[in-house]
Amino acid sequence: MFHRQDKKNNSKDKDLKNNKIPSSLNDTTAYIKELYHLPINKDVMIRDLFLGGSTKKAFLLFINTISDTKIIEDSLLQPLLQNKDPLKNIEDIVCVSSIEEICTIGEAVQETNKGNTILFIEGSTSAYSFSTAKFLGRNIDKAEDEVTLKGPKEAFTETVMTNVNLVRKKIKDENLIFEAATVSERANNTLFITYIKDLTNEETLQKVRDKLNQLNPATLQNLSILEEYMDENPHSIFPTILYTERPDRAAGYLNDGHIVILMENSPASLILPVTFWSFIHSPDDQYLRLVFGNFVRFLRAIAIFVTIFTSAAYVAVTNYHSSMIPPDLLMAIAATREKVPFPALVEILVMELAFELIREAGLRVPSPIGPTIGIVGALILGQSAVQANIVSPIVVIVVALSGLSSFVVGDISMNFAIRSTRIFFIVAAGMFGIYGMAVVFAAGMFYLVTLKSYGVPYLAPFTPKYSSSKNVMFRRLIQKEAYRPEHIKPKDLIKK
Amino acid sequence: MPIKRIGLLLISVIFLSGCWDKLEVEKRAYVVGIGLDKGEDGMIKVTFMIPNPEFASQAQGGASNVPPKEIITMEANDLISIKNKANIIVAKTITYDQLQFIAVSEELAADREFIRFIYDATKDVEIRRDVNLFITKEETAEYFRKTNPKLELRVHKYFDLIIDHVQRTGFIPSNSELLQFFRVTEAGSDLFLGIYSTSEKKENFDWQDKNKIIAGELTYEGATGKTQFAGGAVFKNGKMIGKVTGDEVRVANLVNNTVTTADDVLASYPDPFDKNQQLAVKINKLHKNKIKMNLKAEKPLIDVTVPIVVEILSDHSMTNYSLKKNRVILEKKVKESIEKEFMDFAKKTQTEFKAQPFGWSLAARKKFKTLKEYQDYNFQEKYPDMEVRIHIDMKITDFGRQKNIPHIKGVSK
Amino acid sequence: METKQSIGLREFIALGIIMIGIKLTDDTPIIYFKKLANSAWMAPLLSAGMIAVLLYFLISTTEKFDNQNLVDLIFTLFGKYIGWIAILYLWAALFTALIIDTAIYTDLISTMYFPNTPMFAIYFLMMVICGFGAYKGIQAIGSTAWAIFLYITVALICALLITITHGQFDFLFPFLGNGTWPVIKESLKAITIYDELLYLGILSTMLPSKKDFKKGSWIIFGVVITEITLAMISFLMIFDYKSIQLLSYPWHEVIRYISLGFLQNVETLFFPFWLVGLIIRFGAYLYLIVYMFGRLFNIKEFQLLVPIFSILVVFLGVIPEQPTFTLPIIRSKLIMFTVIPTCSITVLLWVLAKFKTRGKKHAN
Repeated sequence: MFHRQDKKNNSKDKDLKNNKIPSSLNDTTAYIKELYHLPINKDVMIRDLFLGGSTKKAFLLFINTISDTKIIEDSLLQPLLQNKDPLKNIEDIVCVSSIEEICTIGEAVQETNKGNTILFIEGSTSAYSFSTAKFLGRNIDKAEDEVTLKGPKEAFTETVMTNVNLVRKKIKDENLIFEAATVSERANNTLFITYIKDLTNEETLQKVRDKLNQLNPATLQNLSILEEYMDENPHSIFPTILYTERPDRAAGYLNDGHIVILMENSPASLILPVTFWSFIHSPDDQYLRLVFGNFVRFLRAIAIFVTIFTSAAYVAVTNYHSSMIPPDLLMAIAATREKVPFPALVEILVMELAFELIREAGLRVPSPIGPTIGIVGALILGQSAVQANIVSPIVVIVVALSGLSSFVVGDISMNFAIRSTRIFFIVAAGMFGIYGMAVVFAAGMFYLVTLKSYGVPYLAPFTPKYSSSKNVMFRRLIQKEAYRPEHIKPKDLIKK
Repeated sequence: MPIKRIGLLLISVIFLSGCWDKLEVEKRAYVVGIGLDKGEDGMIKVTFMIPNPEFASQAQGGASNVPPKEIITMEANDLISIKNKANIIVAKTITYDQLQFIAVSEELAADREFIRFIYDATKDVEIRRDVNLFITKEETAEYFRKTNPKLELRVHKYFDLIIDHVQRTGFIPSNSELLQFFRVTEAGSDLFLGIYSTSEKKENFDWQDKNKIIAGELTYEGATGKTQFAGGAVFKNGKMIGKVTGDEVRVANLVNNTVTTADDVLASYPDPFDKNQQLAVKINKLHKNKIKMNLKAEKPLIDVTVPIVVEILSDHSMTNYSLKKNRVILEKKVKESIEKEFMDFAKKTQTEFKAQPFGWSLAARKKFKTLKEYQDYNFQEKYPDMEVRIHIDMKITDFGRQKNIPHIKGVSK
Repeated sequence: METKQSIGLREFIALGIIMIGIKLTDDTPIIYFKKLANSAWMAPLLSAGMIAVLLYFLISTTEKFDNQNLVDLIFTLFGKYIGWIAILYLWAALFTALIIDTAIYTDLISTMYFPNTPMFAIYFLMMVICGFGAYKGIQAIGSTAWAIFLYITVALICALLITITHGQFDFLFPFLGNGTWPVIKESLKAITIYDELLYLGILSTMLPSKKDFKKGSWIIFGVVITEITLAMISFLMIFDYKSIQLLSYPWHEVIRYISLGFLQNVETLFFPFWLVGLIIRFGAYLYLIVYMFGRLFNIKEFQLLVPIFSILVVFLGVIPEQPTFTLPIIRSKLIMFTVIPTCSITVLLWVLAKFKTRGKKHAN
């Protein structure tokens, strides 16, 4: 079924690509057949034809699975074949929307790989590339990971052109620029750096461009991997680049003067430079009414505190500072703990581990078995563990509470970050009580405050003071949010 | 990188170190009450009341035979070394973190040596100054054993609730805590009133006035816990010198500006319209007393005006209070009764105790510019010779739910 | 690590208030209560006048010279050699103050909260975290100070309010306590508050604008004096003058006594805020010490000295035996050695600054 293939030498291919297009069509055909490993590669098409009007031989090179054959037939073949005028230029005969003239074999190969069609003419050392690409992809779907109640529900898709379409739909401005770049040799993915020219800071842009230029990875499939490259602090727990799948968020940040990166094969965009506050804000806060939006923000702040501190506070207070607990509660805890073999610290850590396992398993479980596992998990961990005296019921409540409140933070990286800091606090609490927690808190604050991403301090505008629309913890009336965030140094501070 | 490895090793060493103060919740025995009795050879007998967590946390009614508390009495040199000595029989580490009260037997409180032992409470980190102090008539060991309230099985709840509520009625002194005790003892110019309690019921006692009772004198019948809280123990310079009854404590509370005012005071006074009846009144003190002192005169004068608001709650003489003249008589007579009660008690403090529990030394302090002048004056010494006048600024506001009682022949006057 | 750090006005004020205000939570009030009994609260108020004068001298000196912080000013006005000795003296004073203060607070934590933990462990952990903060720079410490400032203030106000409502105003009488002359004498000791403001002068160039140091210092001064006076009044209102002279740490006794509704023992709630405030205070001290040392011996990357100094502080701090008694004695004896030089340096700076600028004006 499959032909046996001879081993070939790859370096010869590289030299071949740098050659200019030979005038002899037979040579060109030979090169192409060698580069594309024809006739093994079944979807690479070579369509020979005689140009209408003149008797020149020509052939069209295209990959029929990724090009729109209708356009090739209607707009390329038909006019070419039916042309009567021998002196007319190719540009005037053909009806496609964009034509490019190329000179080397390498460029021709690259263009064909992108889905375009190449026309090689006998006797000519240049070829024409017509844009006929048609990659299939998902339709525009609802945003699954960042859900809002009010507000647009569109999400980015894997086709970068659709994404650009969505962003342009939200900002119809001539200053909105999409700079293109191609990353990686093999994947040849298009990458767009998007910004509004009269808002964004030039230095930051240059830094981004420099960083992208330094990339030379073999394959860079999608944005999530690019995120790690672009991150100035890749070892840090806290994320410094925002990954969002919502075009309305991207448009909002563009309007503030941030830079957005879009890439083929990624249903998302990267926004930089961002601060800590971007991760704990959700677009819903803006779309809801002022009071409710602030209420949700307040709830989120409480949820973050609960997540980070509850388990650790439980360990610290029961082991070191039991005087604080009212006597009734204390008796309850003491009674239930008497039957449990583990110290409180171990109990909490074991339960945290179990909770993380359930959470991770819940993500990967295939939907038919999903609900069953959920019930089993709840039953096993909740009821049975308590009744078997492996854990005490208070610990189940504490861990469940702290685990659930961590989901109030929408962004997945920040979610992980907050859950990871929880572990530090628990261990510190187990070793030194509230003293340990205070020390870890101070250390964390010292670290966060000096974290920088592309020149922007992580907790701005809260700590290093910058003028902004004060949209830090609570938001104000949209009319009052008149300033762009100064810490990313936009060119125009006032929102117009 | 070797530095990273060494660093990681060092950090992991921290995990091997001991967590010195760490002690699990279930490994502690929370002493809720301490009893101090006089022992032999200058020692004291310490009684611990330790509630049982198993019992306290039962969700259901408690059909099992789990004991609610543990009471242990031991001889000790002081409050602090007994913590470890008790571990000879008690399985868990004793901690005073949840201590709510310290009970002292009358015998020990009247001893000059008592003050040495109570000051241990300032040395121990776990004992807080809001711990209540009360004096029991009998030995505290016996007192704890006999305290078996029927409705509050959790022992910490019982003492918490009863002290709170009885303080509000004025039968026992407010602010009978260590903070107050230390402050009054160290200042040396007032008397400290401590809560008085007992579990012995006096039988066949000749009460002079059934309204003026002290703990143990309440006559009741029925099955309930035997412990009673009423009256006060009088401390002068850290030593107990006497007792006062519940209503005298109430007087002390109303005349004292510096303690929390009892806000649920119900008292009875002779009915002005019928010698054989008593009137039930509710007394509320809304503002602080006005104290006028003239300390420079030949005979120093203390003039106190107590502003109270009174509600007349019963009308056994079946008098018609809608008549203004009745109300005038009522007001005058009730005021006289109350003033007499206050003055009687004040005289008693001057003659019997030779010091006052009303916090008047604080008012006296305002009259001096420096501490030296005040200390030279020696208020406490001069007090028995001072002239004391207590006035009541009384308003009758309410007459209960139904203002008028019918006039019934043969009963009403 | 940037060598030129900057700090915002809000962070500066928060840092100053926390640094100096924490003094009311240790045994500093006791020093005044022992000598002045119930007029101790007047001491900070009376010293406020003198501190204001000194602060005015300091600020007008910094205003005359642009871009010169305290160390630069001393070098400019005193000359290279005398300036060097002056800074060495200030450095030694701050270093000793750090050692004694950390030892006192460690002893406090050890007595009140962690009775079984060896003092060395508490000390070590404290200096590690303060060292980390100092290493990250004053900007990190300032920003952290601002971040928690709101919560520390709320906690402090709660505690003070509850204390005052539980307390008796009458305890403040007789007004003059032990007499007027002792009050004046002790208020001289309270000038130690000014010491800290002087050291904060090292940060004056890091603020965004010239006026900020003036504004910041006056705000810090006002708030701290009010804080300390109110706190001392509230302590007095709960414990009477006799009891308070016997206490070791009035703030901690107070938070052990008060109760918030159904929560009987709330000292654990105030504990973490107080701890973070401590870490900020000592982190800032450590940074200033390391900075001055760097200026003395021309060390550019002075952050790297932080670990050495932290460990040194730990080892020197555990030396005194019976720290509860010896440390306050050492501190009260050292007050005279620090207060007099700081005041004289300030006055001298001001006088010399006036001369130099007068000279410039004449030259113009």
